[in-house]
Amino acid sequence: MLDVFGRRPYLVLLVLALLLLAVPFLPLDDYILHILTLFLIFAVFATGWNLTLGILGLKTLGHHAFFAIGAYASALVSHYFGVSPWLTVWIGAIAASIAGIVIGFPILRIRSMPHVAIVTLAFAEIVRLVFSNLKEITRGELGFWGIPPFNPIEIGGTTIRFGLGNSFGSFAVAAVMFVAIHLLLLVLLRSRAGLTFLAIRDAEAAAESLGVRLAAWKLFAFGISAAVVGLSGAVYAHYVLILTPSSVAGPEMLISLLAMIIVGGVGRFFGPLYGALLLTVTSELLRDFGDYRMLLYGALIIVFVFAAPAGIAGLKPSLRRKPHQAASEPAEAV
Amino acid sequence: MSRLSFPALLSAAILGTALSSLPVSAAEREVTIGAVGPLTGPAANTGKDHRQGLELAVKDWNEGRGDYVTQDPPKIKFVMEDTSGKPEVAISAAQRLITREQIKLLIGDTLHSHVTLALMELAPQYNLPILSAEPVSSAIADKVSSDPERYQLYWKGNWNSSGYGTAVHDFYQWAFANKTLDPGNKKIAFVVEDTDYGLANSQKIAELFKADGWTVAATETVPPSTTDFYPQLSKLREADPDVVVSVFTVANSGIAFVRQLKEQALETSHLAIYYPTKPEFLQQAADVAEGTYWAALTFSSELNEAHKAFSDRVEAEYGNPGTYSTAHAYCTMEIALRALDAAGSTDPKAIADQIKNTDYDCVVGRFKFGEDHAVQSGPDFIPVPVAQVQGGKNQIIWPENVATAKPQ
Repeated sequence: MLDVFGRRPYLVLLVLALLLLAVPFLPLDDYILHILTLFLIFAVFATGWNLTLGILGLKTLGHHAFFAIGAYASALVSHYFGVSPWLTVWIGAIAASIAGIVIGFPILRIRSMPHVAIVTLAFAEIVRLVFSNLKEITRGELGFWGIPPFNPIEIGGTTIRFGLGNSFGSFAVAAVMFVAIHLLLLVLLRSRAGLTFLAIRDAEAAAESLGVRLAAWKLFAFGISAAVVGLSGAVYAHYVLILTPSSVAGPEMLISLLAMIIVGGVGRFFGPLYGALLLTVTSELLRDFGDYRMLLYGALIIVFVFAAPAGIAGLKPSLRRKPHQAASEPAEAV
Repeated sequence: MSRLSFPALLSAAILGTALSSLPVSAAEREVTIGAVGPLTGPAANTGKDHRQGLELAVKDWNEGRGDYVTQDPPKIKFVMEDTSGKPEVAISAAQRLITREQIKLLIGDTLHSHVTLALMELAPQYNLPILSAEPVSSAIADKVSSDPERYQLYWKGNWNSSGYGTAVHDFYQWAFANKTLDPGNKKIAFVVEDTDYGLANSQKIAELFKADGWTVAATETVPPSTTDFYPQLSKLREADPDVVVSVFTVANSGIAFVRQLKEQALETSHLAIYYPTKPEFLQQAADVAEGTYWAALTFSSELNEAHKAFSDRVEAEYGNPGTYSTAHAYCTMEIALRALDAAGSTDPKAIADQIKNTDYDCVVGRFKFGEDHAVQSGPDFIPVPVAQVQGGKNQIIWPENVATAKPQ
């Protein structure tokens, strides 16, 4: 559990929450707030995916499908039926969760991880093609626009608006989602459920022999994971206000988020968060390098994979072990 | 480093900083224009052309070769950022330009319609005039028409997809009427890239043909950069269309399609859209592209002296010939520069009004905006001529008044 959560995960989350709370009081421009908003959305996406990929140990490669399902479900209901996005984001999360459970059933029968990866990848491609071909409803690759931003809210006589160009409000929504989701998942994973997931990951047969109902727990994990990812997709939709199947369910989204999880630390609770922060911010910082930007971005990922195979979140424990290792070495006989 | 060089350097730095902080005279006012386009990803080749066209226009402007409106045109600083073809990256790029570079006008997106649909939202939010370059999707004009007040600062620097649709339809009607081609069973099929560009064009063309009693035998969509069309061609063989329209923005896809189409020996009339504008298409596929109809030959250094002069300038500057994309981007920047000059200020509404009033003859044609904020197409504006590859060269075959050869 220490490897997964670190020593004081609640304290880490509290510090992060306080840092986010301080952001509105800092002299940051809309560009920085936009980057932070994207980081928060993708951090929630990556954390949700890490639940099945890293903590449960199922090598799923199709979670960007749930991101797309959450995004499109919320966008379509709010656009065509005039429902407030404050409600439709939950519809998006539920739709993604149901899809997660549906795809979870066939995966239960698959023992081989490469096959799990292929099946989930194929599922994601099916989702992309469905959204692409339902042109009458989604407008396909022409782009689904007209997505309403979150309805403005009044706080103490101040109207807070959301959507592109309303950086503070959008950041606030993303930050609240980020803290709330991470807190809920932390509570869940620090409970019996988390231990069960880790037991399934580390020794499935042993877990089953101890009475763990593998099918039920795997489906539960899929449902929760997909719901979290779907929620992040829904928030994304009501922020960016335009969706295309390839931008939300295409291979580029898969690769970007997978890189965040791997660089941050697969199977470590805060790993995806660190990976999302590093890669989202770096992608923008590298703009100063012009045409070499994407080349350097790729090189950075490669360097991190070699320098920190356990991810950024895995760096701290190895540094702390050195003094104990030195003390435990037997003294040489003189 | 010599003992004297560090103090000298320090002095120079201090002096430079002091000089740079001096207020600029009105005659030397500098205005920053930003642009966003796909400098990486599958469309990077076209994004590079756009950047060259935009940069060249700014260079001409700043070095006294611009087509000025007033005697006191502003100096221009130009910055372009990459979108990677993604809406959220485009938003990041645009916001960086707005907040860091303090741009007074944004050219974007230079290529993708779906990215433009996202960027348009920044116009009312930041009170910023936005002018898109090559995007053609009618969805953009539809969005403007849905709320003209909100999008009053946004202008579309290219025609709507109906422009291609009308040209292709009218060309075939003319070809059928003069017996150049036989309508056969009136079946049309499409093989297009699964992007806003491919889909928008195929939709408009299909609408017009269906109104004439045609049926759409097949619409095959492929991911951008696809080069294996055997599955699609097998389906077309079964569908047996009389006309096949292909739309790709990546030259390699077009080259592969034409080659495989010839290999499969399908008996159909083939019209290509966009990819034959790329020089590499004829360089690599002239042997198999003979007889191919394509749209639109809006820019041809072989047939038009002015286009050749422009292409030569681009080659002298960048080492590669100019393309339609380079020329169109150049003209888009010219519109922006002249609007800024005519406005006499950086007031967004004043700039937008000048863009609206544009009636300007540029390299690729006459730029005049319609009620839907889109540039108009047609013989009096930006022409959409249909060409044919004849003897390894492009010839304009329609409309007749600008044709350089008869159709074969």
